[in-house]
Amino acid sequence: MSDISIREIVPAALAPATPNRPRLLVIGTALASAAVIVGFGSLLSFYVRTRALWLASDSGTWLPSGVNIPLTQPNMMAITLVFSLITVVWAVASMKSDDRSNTYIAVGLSIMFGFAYIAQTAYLLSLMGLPIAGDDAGRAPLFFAVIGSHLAITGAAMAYLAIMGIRSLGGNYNAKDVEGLYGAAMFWFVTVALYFAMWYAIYITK
Amino acid sequence: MMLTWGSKFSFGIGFGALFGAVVMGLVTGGDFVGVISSGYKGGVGDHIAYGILIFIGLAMIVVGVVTTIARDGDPEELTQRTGISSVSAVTPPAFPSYWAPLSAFGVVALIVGVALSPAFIILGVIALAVVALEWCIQAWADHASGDAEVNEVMRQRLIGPVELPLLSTLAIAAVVIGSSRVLLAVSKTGSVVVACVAAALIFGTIILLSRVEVSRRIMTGIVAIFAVAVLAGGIVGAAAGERDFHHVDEAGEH
Repeated sequence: MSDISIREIVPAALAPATPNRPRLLVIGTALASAAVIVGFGSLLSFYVRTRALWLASDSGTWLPSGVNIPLTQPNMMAITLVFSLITVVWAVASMKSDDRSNTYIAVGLSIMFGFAYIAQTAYLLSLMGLPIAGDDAGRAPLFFAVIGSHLAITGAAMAYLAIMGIRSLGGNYNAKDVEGLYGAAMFWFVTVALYFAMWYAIYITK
Repeated sequence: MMLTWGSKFSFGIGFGALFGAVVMGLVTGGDFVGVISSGYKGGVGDHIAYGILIFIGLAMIVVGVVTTIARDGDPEELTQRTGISSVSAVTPPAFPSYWAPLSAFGVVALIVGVALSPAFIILGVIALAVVALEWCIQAWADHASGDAEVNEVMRQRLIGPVELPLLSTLAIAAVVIGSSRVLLAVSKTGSVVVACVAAALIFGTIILLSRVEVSRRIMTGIVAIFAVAVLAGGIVGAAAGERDFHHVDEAGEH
């Protein structure tokens, strides 16, 4: 067992750390969320416009022949993400009560729902069988760009939540300071809201 | 609840953008019901302009809600709401942190990898994993005590034994993956020339740096330029693809 410990490195007479200024992380997350909303929204708008121009040109159906988007998986993904909203709120609420055990369970469940969403997306893409190569009209790359972007945003939200969970585990957050979890929860809500925009624009209206 | 100046500004832009989306939809050929219902019934005119304005409006409303809750960061209101005696000023970091540019490197490698080569995906994932670990520990150490020097010592004691091997592995992986894409893309003779020139450049730079006093900033700049050059060369090489290789069959013929 190592005889070096943090207690030996830090003298007891040291001044305590300056407390964090409140709300900084939340405001930073709000600005990042705004950027993500506008970026993803622009991509989605481009997708819808390309689809509208395609349909207006009488070039046939938007989806290539043989490709179908089933609705079961997108709906299940929506339900999964709604469940994750509940667990994210649970994580914040339990940390506000200093109930760390429930916080860890809620953070873990939220990340599990995130993985479930990614797995269902992968399954949906395999069911659709839309070939990314050989589509001269550029429909498939655009389709994958929108879905892939949302997967990347979901990955970032999961990483944010995981890091804030670890920092909670390390004692950085408590009932009086839940800012990290607030920020992660806000970004998670934005991620889910963007999914519903994509769900409507891609999966429902097809 | 009184609206703060910041939230008024954000809500103003937000609702202005939503109103602008309606106007944009109408003047670009959309019908009123379509524009109001976001295209559920009827057209919205120019989809991109309409969509971007709608999302700008929603984004700014999110920012407005947050600035309302945060009361624009006003110290007096924050002390009342959070129950703390005083709101401390924002303390700038005592030492420079390279995790933000390194994470940008990882994200770029990941994106390039998705489009061009799985090798860059692996490089991006490794870079982001290292950054996540290092940044977490940096964030913890920065607030471990009120003494920045002690905080840095604590960070070094905790991550130091694995930091050098981790960053060295990452640097070696970046150089190997980036330079190998270049060497595979150029001709056989070209690859020898490129390797010799790159080796000579590295050797010459190291000799030069060992003989003159160089500040930490200049050293960081040189490393950053080298990292960008390796990544850019790797991207160009991966995009160009590998040259044709002549395989030797069992009879020894090309």
